[in-house]
Amino acid sequence: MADRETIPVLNVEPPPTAEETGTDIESDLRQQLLITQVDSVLTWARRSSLWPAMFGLACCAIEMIATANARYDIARFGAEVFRASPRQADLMIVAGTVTWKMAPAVRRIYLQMAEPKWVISMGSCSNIGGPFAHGYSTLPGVNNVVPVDVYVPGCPPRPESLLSGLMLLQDVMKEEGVLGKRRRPEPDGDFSTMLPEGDPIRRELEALFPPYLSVSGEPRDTETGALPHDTNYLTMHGGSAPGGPA
Amino acid sequence: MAYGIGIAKGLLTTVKHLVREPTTFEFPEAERPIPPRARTNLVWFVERCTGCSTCAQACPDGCILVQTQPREDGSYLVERYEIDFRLCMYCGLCAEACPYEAIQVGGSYTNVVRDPNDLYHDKPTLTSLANEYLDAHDWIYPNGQPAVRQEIHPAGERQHH
Ligand code: SF4
Ligand code: SF4
Ligand code: SF4
Repeated sequence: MADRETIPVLNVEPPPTAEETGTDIESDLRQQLLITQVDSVLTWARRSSLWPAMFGLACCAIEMIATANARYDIARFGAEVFRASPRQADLMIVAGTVTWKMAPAVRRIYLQMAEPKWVISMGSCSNIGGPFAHGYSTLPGVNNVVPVDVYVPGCPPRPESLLSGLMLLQDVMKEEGVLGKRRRPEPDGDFSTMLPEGDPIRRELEALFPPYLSVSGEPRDTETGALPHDTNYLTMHGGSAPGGPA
Repeated sequence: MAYGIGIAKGLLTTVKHLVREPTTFEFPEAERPIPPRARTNLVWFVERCTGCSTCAQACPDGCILVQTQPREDGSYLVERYEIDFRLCMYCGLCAEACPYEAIQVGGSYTNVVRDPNDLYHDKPTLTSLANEYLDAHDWIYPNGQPAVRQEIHPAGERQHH
């Protein structure tokens, strides 16, 4: 496990002058130095205030709740503010079994979160399906619907394991920086090997991947970006508004 | 200026708590001891394992792989011992079944990964994890028995005497 890092401080020393170094530092290099400093401060701020979205899917959620209580105190890592709205959350802790029925909801919550966003997969169930990996009802790994940054094994993982996962995620964020490339693989949205053709859940899931077609396959309105009137969708969701991409 | 005095007193208390020695230590600094029959991470000790495969038969998920070869004296050489921790549901049935307590419940909590395939542990990985565990726990097995202190080889294998 990596050591807990110290808080970065801005280097207040002025950059060396041309006389000191004997060469003239290019102005864009100076800008790059400034960007690096700003980057380290921004990543420090980001990784010290990871607000998770408040939802749990199965038994692992109980252990996630235990992590928030005083004995384990996830507040020490700045991640205690479980937000009831995905719009205010940075971190998605997928704690529990992702059933096929729940998969579109998980994907939709992920899409509704504002960038930048991170995902921790907690427990064997969301890692690969766990004890239900060969079952008919369970998604074989949440990485099929959302890109996952850190996997925490366990059934359920102890709160210590989740805290280790959070610390690893903070290290990942530090390594990737604000503008750095994200190393996590994006899901491809291909469910052809898992669900039969015409399956309503498969159609709904595919509608939540680029190019975000409607469930019936019609494109969005080019001007307003609105989804076409879709009776299928409305029937499935009792007329509620679709939660499109953020 | 009664308000100002009250705030200063409150801040003084805060500052006192900020600079004094901490009284509570939590996870990354301190680990809680877990009860011996808890259901949590597993450690497998190559020196205790006879290769009988009872654990693999007891595992409901089928995530343990044991491959053995008979030795001259009739005992088994454990060629491969692999646990798929992506699938494992940490039920502890393997640890309950093992007649030699070669696989035990315990281990560290830092086994988080960025690639789920890193959770498939083969024999050298399991051995080095077991060595790390013993090194951190005074060479006492999770069940309380003392282990023989041995040199740890970087590749994860124990040095044979
Ligand atoms: S991994 Fe285990 S504890 Fe977590 S949701 Fe699945 S069955 Fe429950
Ligand atoms: S803890 Fe349970 S699922 Fe995991 S290896 Fe042992 S018997 Fe198999
Ligand atoms: S049951 Fe115990 S001794 Fe037998 S193969 Fe499994 S770990 Fe080794």
